[in-house]
Amino acid sequence: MNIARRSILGGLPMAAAGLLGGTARAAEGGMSIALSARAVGTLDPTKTVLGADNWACRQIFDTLVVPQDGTFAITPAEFKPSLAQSWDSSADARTWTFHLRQNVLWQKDQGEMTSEDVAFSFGRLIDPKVVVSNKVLYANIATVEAVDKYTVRFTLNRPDPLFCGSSVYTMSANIVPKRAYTERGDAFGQDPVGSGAYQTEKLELNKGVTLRGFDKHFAGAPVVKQLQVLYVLDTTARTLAFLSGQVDMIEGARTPGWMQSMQSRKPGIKFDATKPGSINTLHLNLTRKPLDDLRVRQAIRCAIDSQSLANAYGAMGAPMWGVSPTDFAGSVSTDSLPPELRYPYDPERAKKLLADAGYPTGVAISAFTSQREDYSAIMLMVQEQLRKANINLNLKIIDHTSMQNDNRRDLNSMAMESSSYPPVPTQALLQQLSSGAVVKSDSTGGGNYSHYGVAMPGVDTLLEKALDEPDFTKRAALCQDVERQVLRDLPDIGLLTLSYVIARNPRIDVGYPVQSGYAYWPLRRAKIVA
Amino acid sequence: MLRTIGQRLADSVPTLLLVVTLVFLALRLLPGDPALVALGENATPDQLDLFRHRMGLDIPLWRQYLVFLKDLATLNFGTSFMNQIPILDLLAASLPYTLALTAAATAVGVALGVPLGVLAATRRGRTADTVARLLALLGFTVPDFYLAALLLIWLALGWGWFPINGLGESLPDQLYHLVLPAVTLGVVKAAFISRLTRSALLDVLGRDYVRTAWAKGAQAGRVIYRHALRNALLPVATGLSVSILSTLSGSVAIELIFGRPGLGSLLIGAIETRDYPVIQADLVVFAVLVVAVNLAMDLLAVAIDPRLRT
Amino acid sequence: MTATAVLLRRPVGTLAAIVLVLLVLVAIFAPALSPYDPLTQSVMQANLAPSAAHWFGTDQFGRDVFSRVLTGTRSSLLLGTISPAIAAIAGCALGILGGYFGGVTDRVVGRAIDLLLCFPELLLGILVSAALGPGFWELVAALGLAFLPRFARIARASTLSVRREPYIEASLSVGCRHALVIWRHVLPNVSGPIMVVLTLWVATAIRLEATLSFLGLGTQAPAPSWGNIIRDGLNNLFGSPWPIISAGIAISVTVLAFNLFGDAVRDLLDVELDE
Repeated sequence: MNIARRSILGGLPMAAAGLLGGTARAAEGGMSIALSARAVGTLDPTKTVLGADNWACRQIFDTLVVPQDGTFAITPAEFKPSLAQSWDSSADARTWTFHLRQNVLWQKDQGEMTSEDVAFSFGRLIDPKVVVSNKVLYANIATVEAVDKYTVRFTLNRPDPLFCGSSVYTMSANIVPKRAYTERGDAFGQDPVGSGAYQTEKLELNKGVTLRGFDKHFAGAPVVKQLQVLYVLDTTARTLAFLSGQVDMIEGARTPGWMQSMQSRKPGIKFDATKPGSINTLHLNLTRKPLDDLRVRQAIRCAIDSQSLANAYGAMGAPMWGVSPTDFAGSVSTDSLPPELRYPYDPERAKKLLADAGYPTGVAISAFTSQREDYSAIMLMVQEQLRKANINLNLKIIDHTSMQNDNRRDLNSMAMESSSYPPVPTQALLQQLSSGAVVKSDSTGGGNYSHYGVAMPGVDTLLEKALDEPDFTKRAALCQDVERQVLRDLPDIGLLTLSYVIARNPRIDVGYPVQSGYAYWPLRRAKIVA
Repeated sequence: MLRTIGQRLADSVPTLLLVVTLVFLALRLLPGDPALVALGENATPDQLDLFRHRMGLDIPLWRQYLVFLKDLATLNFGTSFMNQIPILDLLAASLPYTLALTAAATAVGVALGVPLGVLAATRRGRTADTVARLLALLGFTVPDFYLAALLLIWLALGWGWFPINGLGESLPDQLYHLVLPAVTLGVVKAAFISRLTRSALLDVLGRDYVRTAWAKGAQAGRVIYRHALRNALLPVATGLSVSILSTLSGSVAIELIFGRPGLGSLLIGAIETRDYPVIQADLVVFAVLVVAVNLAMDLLAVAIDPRLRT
Repeated sequence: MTATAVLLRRPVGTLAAIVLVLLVLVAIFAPALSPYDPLTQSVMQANLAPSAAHWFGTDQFGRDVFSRVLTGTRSSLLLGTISPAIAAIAGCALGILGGYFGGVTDRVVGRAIDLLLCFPELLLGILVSAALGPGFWELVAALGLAFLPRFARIARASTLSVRREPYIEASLSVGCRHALVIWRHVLPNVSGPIMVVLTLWVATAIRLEATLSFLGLGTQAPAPSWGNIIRDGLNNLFGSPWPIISAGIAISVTVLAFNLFGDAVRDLLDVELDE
């Protein structure tokens, strides 16, 4: 099947220019990574919303604790020291004390990192007058205080056995230097000072950031002295730059078949992929006909083949059964479920359920989604699967900002949501399924687009119980109860998880296997091996 | 002369004002919330309100408009909603690339298009004419971004003659990076210019004074270059100004494929994030460029044909 | 001149006309001609090379590229003709109004034309499609508005030259109403140049649709248009190059045909244009 393809593209002397030849421009200095973004937004970790900015920030700043490189810490015991050397919590998991590492230096000669900087950093996150991204992650923190020069104490409103995962190891909670941050003001985003392994050397808004190793980093200087974080929006442009050897790593495209086609193009390419990656779920608006009927929702669940959605993405995709990925604590997997909650793919059963609900000829539903590549591709496949079960989805594809806006105004019947959560069992549930987060037509509501818990009884009581539970194992078990209840009511359908993928030239060795984690990882340990 | 320029500039003020007003209104019709984009989807309502307040989005529209006009009059472009970077910095990081690309593409277009047009006109109806016209048509029929992709795949990825994307460091390197995008846009431009040159030249060649020159036995080359081309320049120059303006704003797809910054890229990005002040500033700069290019062409026209001087 | 004579004297124009007729037929009968439903996906059949079953192969969703290109003819041709046609009608109305009545009307029309001419077509297309959201009719509106001033300018110029003719005054003095004069004398004079410009702008409209689709502002998935086939195809270049090759050729052939046809019409009508 490849013959004809070769005759078009395969005739190119690509290998000569290419990947394994080592003629790469990037080889001259250090290494480079090209990410999908138009221009540098801000390198203030408390304000970034762009994936590419996050990448740079991850190299420049440190958090108090970290998981093992290349993983997510699923349980509290898995966190490792970073700026904090040790930590302990009270029995009720409401008071957390962190003992800081000593002699940690700020970049650009800004002195030593102390508890004052930590208290300042978290103080901003919980100050209602300060705008930071993902503020909701810090809402549980009641106070933060510097006990002495190297000790910081947090008190929480409610117990949180996984405080390190839900608040401390998050992007906005990177520690910033109090003095430099205050002095620089808004300009901090263009001239950041962190304690991380790389510091900014040059920032070109439209091109990217050149980072230089920070020799005085507490864990030692990084192996590769120069790291270029390039901003290249267009997938084709990025792919071509990678194949020509001009850049060492590129952000992959979240389109079906991308990974497979790259693999067949150049077998030598390495892929670093996070599992689970983004969590893609489909909210069914319970206030709209015919979605208010449980049988219709069950029909939709039966008509969607999560496994084949995942297959389309090759190794990037994995099917979902509940609304949390199976890798996370508090999730449910298909074999642990009672048979009536398993919903195997069965379009015929879907048709029967529709007939029972009074729609023997099928239903038509209007919905919109974003033109961002992952949203549109997944929804196009869902649309096609639903069609086989007589569910006609009139799908309008609009730009991403309009979709966000219109979803927030409760204008959608079926809103697909791609989100990335750390493995904190309650977080996604709280933001997408609790009655407190219900969407409102004046856009003052939250991300519960199905009206679950308002249009019908939901999981609020169970969630409250989970949030008051200081024991992690018991908390996870309560979240599984929530999952089962959600599968019974079907306000939200798990579609698939989609790995965040970086394609890597084999001349670079990241230094550890990338298995899971956020959509960015430290490159401090990376080496050039060829 | 100075008075003419002054007059033209004064004339353009109401048009500019209308343009910016239209833009201001159109932006507010766009669905989408800059606050939600800047703060991310997990933002709480309080935070969104706080952000809107800081950015002056919570006051009535007419007051926002007045603030906008005042800022415009005092040349205060403000800062971006997304990252508080001064918009002048954003423009400075984009405008030079747009100007460089437009200049290079125009140079390629003129260098290819004018000789092709002359060839076609002087050999009218013969093979050279047909070939020249077909070449021009071919340049016209291929969408520029498509041509860009083809050139990239063959010349840059396949043969490694050119860099794939980026801007380059030193000046020669930067020029080297400019070649492929400029050639892509230039070829499309050449198609347009050669058509224009051909028809303008044919028109002039048919006029009496040229016929007289022929009859007097002047050499063909001299007739074409001394008399005909000079007079044919006027419509070509007018056409060129249209073409330059469309490249200034319309090379977005090319910028995207070659990973280059530019006014067009800045605009599309700002539209995506609903960064109103950036969109407004970008379009104001563009409108000023329109006025400047048109003025330059008027002056050029006077230089070519002094009778136009009033 | 008889029809045969026209054919013989202008083989290129005739060929272009034949191609255009074929394209229209393809657009009309696309569903019948397509071997597959252009929207049906098959993950197992993704990125196939051309074969007897799939003449142009399949895309990353396993959809048949040949069927998609055929169906794409519809939206490309429809958009390519409707948007300039709307622009021509509205532009003519404005231009004639200004040129015929002169005075304040003309100054308003003139100012409006100047204003719109400030924006090159693509920029206006971007702005309008951004404001209205992506979609077929939104794009028609965007391109229609972008083309309008160019038609208005030509209509106005032609009207101005006709307006000075003595027979217009004569008709008015014998009591003819303005509407009748415009219908009888102005419109026929304006329609020649407009027709020529129309065919040329059809070509531009098809190219712009492709560019706007490439920028994500054009025809929206899953409906195929040549522009979005290329857009999706570029991102899947190494999966299969056939979508961009076939849609690219389709665009080039169509634009070429409209251009050559437009040239032939211009020569036939012997219209002078200072475009």
